[in-house]
Amino acid sequence: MHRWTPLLAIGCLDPSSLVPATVVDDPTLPSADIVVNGVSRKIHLREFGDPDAPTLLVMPGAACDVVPYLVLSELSDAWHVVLWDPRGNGLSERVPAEELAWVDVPLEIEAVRQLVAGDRPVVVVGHSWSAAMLVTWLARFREHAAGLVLIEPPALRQEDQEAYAIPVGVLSDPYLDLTWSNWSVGPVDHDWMDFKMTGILQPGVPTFHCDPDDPPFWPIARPGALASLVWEDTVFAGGRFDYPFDEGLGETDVPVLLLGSGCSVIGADFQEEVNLSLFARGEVGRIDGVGHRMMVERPDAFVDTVRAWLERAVP
Amino acid sequence: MMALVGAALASPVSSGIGAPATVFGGAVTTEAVGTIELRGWRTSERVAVGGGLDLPVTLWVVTGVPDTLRGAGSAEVLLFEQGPWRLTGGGSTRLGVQHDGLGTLLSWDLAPGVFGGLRGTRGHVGLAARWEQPLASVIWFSEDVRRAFEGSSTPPPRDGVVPLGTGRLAVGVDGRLAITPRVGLVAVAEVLVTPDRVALAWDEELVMGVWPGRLSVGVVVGPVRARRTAR
Repeated sequence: MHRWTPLLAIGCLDPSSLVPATVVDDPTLPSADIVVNGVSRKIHLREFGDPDAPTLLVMPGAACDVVPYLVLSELSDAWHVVLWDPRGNGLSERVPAEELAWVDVPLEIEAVRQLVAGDRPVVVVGHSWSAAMLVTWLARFREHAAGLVLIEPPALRQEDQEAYAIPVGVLSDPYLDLTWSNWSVGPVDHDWMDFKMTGILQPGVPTFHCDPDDPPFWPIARPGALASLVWEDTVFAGGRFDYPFDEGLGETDVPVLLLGSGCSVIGADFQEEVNLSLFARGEVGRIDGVGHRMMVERPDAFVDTVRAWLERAVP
Repeated sequence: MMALVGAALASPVSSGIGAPATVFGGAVTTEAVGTIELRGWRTSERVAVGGGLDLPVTLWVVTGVPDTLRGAGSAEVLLFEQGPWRLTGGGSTRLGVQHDGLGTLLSWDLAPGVFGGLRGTRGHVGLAARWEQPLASVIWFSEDVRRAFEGSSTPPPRDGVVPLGTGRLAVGVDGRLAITPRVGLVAVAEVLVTPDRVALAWDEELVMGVWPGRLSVGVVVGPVRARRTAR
């Protein structure tokens, strides 16, 4: 139900109030400092469980933050569960575009891994874009990988990406609304950019949902608009992915769970057909009755599936 | 989340962010607007006033949801006329409402500009330049925006007024053709430029930045062309 404030009762809006504060402006948020390419930045970091337990490191997808994945904290009875918002995303510090280069993403993942696990290998969890990012990290830092949970990544091989292009509703109501509103409120800084991106989060990609017209609510506190744009500029061309996420991967015996839904176009069937053959110790997990947002649609089934695989595949 | 993926169409003005180097050097956006305009001339025959509606065709045709509307009032003064050539100055002010996932926006702007071109017996065609300056927007936030603050120590935003948004320069071709003495067609093709570089990245990469401009077509009811100035 929309709540109207009478026109005469409203005052000037503080742009910094459009989105939740980052760790830079809210010292009560849990945070840590990481160094990437010699630059120290403050990240939003959430930790659960015994720090001496094996680490499960969770990286949110693009235009996203840790909130939908907090359900994985249920695994903290056996795991040291760590979730973080990458630089420029969620509640982490906003950084200039030159610090958001796609090729540096593996360096950030590795910096966080070192921070929370030292020399120990970790199991990493990524969703959608971040699942692809974790594959690029695996290619460079495989000695630090104990396992990967890749939740509905896009086609990882460049040669598959044209055949499996994902139709996106750029002519959908939210995108057009966003464009149209620029005549009056343009995205002039990070606060405005992130705020305006909030307006397109809920519909998402229609073909990722069981009911394209009624997607599940996606609980994001704050997307990272500039980061998403920079990444998109690198890995996207012609309206689809065009990037070799598997470059340098070679043959790997790291256990990998490709977790897919029953509804999404990049769900379990897609993962089996397109991505599974990349991993010698890969297997596909399937959760039916859900789409790309499985962790909020059936959180219990999601956690149980990940837990079962961890117990079975990761020593 | 992959929600934003793919919004980058194959853009001929694609550029990196942080070092924007677009063809036009400013923010880009794409709008298709239908217009209905009512005009009249004052007795001096040097001043035209009008009002009308801007209909966001891209939104209305594609979504079929007319929850966005913009009204405009305009005034135009004939500054110079020599033979078929004429130069006018003027401006418009627009008031628009938009309801979307972020909430409801009520916005107001002011757009001074100039037009120079050829006047014919059935209309005119020429170049137009206009600075579109948002003066204020009132935002009533949606429930989705408020829900983003659940679990945060930051309170959700309060409905409020945003003064002075980012301005845009619109430069393009403006043509009008009289069908009858008091009914005509108007077509305007413009390039939109704004000095704000963040807006550039946003518009160009995320949304509909394939063409950095706006195409407006519409109907004019009232004097379509200026009468000859009394001498």
